[in-house]
Amino acid sequence: MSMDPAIVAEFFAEGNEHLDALEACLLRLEGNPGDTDAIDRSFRAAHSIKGAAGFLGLGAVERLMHAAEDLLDLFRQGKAVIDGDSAGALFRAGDRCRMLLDAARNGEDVDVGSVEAMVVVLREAVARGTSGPAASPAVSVPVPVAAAAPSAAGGSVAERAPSSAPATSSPGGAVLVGRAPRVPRVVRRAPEAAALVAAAPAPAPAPPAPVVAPTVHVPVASAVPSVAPAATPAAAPVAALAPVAPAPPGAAPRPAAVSPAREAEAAEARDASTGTIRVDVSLLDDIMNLVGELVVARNRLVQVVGERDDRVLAGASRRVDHLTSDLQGRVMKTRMRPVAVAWGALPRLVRDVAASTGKFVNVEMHGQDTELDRSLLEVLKDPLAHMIRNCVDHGLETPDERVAAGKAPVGTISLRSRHSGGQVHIEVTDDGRGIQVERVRARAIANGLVTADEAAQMPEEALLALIFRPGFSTAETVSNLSGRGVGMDVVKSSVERVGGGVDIRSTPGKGTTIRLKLPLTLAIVPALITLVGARRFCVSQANLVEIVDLVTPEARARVEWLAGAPLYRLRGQLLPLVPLGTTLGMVSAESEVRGYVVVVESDDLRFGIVVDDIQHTEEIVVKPVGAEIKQAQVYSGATVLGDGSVALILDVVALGRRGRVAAFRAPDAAAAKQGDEEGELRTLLRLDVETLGTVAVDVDAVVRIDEARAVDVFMHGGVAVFRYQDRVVPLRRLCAEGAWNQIVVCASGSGLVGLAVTEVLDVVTQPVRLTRGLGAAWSLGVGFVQGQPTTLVDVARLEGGAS
Amino acid sequence: MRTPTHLVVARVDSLLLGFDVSDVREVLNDEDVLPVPLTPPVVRGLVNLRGEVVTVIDARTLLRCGPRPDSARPSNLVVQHRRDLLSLQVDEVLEVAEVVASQLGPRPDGMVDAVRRLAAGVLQRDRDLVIMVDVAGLFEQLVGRDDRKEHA
Repeated sequence: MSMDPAIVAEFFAEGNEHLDALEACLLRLEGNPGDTDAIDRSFRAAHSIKGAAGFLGLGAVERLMHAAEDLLDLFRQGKAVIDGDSAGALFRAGDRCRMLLDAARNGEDVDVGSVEAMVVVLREAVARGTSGPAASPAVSVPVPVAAAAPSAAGGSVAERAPSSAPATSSPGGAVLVGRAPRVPRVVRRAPEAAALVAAAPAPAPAPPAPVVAPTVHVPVASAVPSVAPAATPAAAPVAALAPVAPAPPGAAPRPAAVSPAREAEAAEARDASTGTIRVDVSLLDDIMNLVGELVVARNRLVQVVGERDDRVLAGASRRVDHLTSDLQGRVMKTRMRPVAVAWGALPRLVRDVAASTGKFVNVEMHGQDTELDRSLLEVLKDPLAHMIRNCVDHGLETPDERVAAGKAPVGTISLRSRHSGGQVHIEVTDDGRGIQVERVRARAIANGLVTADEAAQMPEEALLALIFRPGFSTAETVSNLSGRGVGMDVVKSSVERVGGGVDIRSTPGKGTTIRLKLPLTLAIVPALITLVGARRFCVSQANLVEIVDLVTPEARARVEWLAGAPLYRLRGQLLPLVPLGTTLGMVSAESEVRGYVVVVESDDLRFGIVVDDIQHTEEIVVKPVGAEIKQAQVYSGATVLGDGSVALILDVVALGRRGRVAAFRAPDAAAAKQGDEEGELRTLLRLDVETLGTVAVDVDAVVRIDEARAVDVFMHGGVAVFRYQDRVVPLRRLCAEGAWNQIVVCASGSGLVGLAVTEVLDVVTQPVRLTRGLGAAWSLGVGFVQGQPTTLVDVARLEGGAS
Repeated sequence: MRTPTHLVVARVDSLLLGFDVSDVREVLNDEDVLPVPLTPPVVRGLVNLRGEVVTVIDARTLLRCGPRPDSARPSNLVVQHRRDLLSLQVDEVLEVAEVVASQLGPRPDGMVDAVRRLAAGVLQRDRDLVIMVDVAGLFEQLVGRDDRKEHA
């Protein structure tokens, strides 16, 4: 067959759009079977695909869509009302059609048998629909109660999304984002009813059952391969008689209903009115790459012109500079897509997961218009799907549990998106059971992620963050949907890989919110160019906090050493340092740190990268690098700088991990806020002292930490002393000889004192409420630090006691 | 691998390697290679190929040939497999040779493992033997090495 390839490509693109529209309409219909507009649209979608497929000689697609069209026609003519089974059949027909289109596009073989089975299923549904009005009562008519109180009874009033149509939530398990308030098909109020419905079979593949219980429709899926057309006449009447037994209205499981059709409609309207054209995505990518090159060439031009004294040339270069920036902005815009594109598949996912777990779910969407780069949408797809699956499977309770907890039987998942500070924030919130911190703690210990001691000391927020660690799962049972211990860590790593972050908040009994923070684009990012020796390394501005120079001796004096690793005392806080040259093995370890400290923050990690010099900031075009570079696990990519040379882009998170600074957390904003009510906010160096327990010293007092074996201790006049920078410093041994391994040199107003301790633990910032008059003579008081009773050392008194 | 009609012949130590011309993007000389710390020795670094960043692989390390004499100026042979590019640093690029069917042979036994893994076959010419490089295999081998490293 000779066919214009452009026409064929157009067909595949349009075919998928029609299928999207069909799916969206079906979801709407599940919420409101009487939605004639949705019926018409879905009929048209099936019809269009059928027509084009016939034209191109795709017989299987044509037959499948013809059968779907027949079924939809019944609804269109009002001869039957769509129910869960027929909707399920149409959903699967759409899926099958999508597979056929993909196969045809890739020139693969088509499994004709499965297509025929699907056609049979659709015909059965048609037969059921035409077998008499008996089918209709099962499928109740919109219930006035719900119509009267569309939003209040649902327990959640949907917010009005910017520029979107009114969103109405109702107790029927349907979210209706449409033009007119609609009424869900079924209202379930009584918990028993909910439970009964939940117990009804899910439309999941099941062994073919010869028509069974009179109360239950034969799951459509069960009819798939082996039920011959001959079986149909027998099966249909029985199924049509469905609700004989005391079944709740609408026994067919139809737990989730959503109508995200708004986007599709809007897109349709735009296409028609403003005359858009279809552009191949790879062409856009090529244009983007060329603009990237242009940006690099522009940078070079500006640099060269800046070195000369030529006003005419400078003017021309400025013009090129501005035009390039403009062009870059516009081209970036062509790559921007509304987040609704990534959300499009979610209502269907919710529907399927809800169906197989027997839950009822509302989906609310706010801010679907928020735009971000299409490459990011790709990145988002899997993490979002996973989060949603988690929400429905683990987050939301079963209808019984919800009612028992005094909630509406229908759970709500809301998706929110907005621009904030040059980033896109996407929140997924459920109103489910929340995350029980105690279970997280127990599971983390059971899975060996943390020790019982560590877990006991961790603040709630840190415990919640454990669910993002690889190998973590709290689901009691491993379902086929989620809970296999892979997932949230993948969500976190894929989001971080693109320079974003994830955080989680949860209130037991109330629900959970997971927030993704993403950059707007990946292609061109502002970066700081740093130097180690003659080599340049780029640090993304997104990670950059500040730059501290170590040029003056005073600045260098703020560098401390803890167990061989350098720290910098920055405004009372100890900042772990990662000397880039030694970490990358470019130079051998040095005992002194010099140059500049680039303070970076990523996620909950804040540390300083020590470089030799800072050059400037530049818009860099991120170039992918091969697996052989990525395996070093410190680079997120490479770039070509203005002078044409290649530079590596540092992966800040991985670098911090390599520099082993993970133990240090950025100061906790929540803790800082609590400071006023719950005691003074202190930054403490925690020390373990054998027999005494945990002791802490204000970090401002700490001068240096040394390994005990590196220090010569002398006895002088019955007092232990040691040498520190040619001075005699008294040593206070807080524990027995042999039990101390490190010496913490502390300064007080009048001098220095050494503290011999078993181990230096970490640095924490938190409010501490002290009980005074407890503990040794040198005690300032005892308070809880990281959940442990801790004696705070009064350095001045310690010094007095030693001398 | 289908039989190429022309080979780009390059020398690595005493070995002659032949690359299907359709796999060769270009030959670069005197390019600045940015060394990349923490990568295995076979990775020489990165090079800017008109805006694309390409990894440079040292053919001598790959083929276990021993270090290149300091005085030698290597050439970079940029090869393409699907959309991926790789620059192979060789001692010199010699010629483009026509493939004569009668000279083709299977890869002989007794090759060093490192060489055999890359060989798709040989071209037995009057004066010498050219090892035909399986470019797809070369890319795979580099990716495969990553996997082993990650599992270790």
